[in-house]
Amino acid sequence: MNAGITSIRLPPKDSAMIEHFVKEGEFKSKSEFVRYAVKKTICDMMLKEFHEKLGERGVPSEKEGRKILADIKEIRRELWGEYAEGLP
Amino acid sequence: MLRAYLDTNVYVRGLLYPDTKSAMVLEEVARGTFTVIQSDYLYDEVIRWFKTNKGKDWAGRARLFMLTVPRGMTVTKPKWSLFLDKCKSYVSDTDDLPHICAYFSTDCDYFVTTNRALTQQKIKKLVKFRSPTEFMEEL
Repeated sequence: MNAGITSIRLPPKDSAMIEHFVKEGEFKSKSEFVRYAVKKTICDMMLKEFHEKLGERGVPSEKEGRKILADIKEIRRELWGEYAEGLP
Repeated sequence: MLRAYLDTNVYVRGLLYPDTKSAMVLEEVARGTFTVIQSDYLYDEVIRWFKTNKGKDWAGRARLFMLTVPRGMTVTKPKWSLFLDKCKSYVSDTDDLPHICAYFSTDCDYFVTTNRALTQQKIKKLVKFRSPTEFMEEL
């Protein structure tokens, strides 16, 4: 996938803060900082979306918990069949 | 920075049930509190679970969530498979091996899971298993 280039205007204070964290070695470059910030925001929003639109209140009952684990186990068995091919 | 491998059940429970400890773990993931180790096997498992149980659209969103983890690191089959021999004798279900191998191949500090059966196998001597509750307490 090609990397998309997006130019953005930032207030000088924000830009200076980004440069500060780059100088401190927290990020390799300003681009890395922006990529991190974008990912963090998307990840956070995705989680909120899941919880708001699909989320179920309370904690799953023991029965529901067991069902989730059993379904995952079934998928895991199928997947292992596919991944095991070509392994030593 | 601390590295943790989150089992499929933590993603499923955490995305579906906002009031669980698994959801709290995912909130920390979204904050970038620790490095999250993921594997190709894990992606496939989570996505397949959502596709089967919640439909294609939610499977796509689950994929996006996993791909946008701010401090994420992915390990793939060529790397984790190098640890198969080391782990084989400690795990009773071979289909759990890719997750355990991914943990070792990336020097993880914790393996977070709600699956108690996995944490009772011989491999528990070598892997720091934590439930989401225990993990949140130690974070």
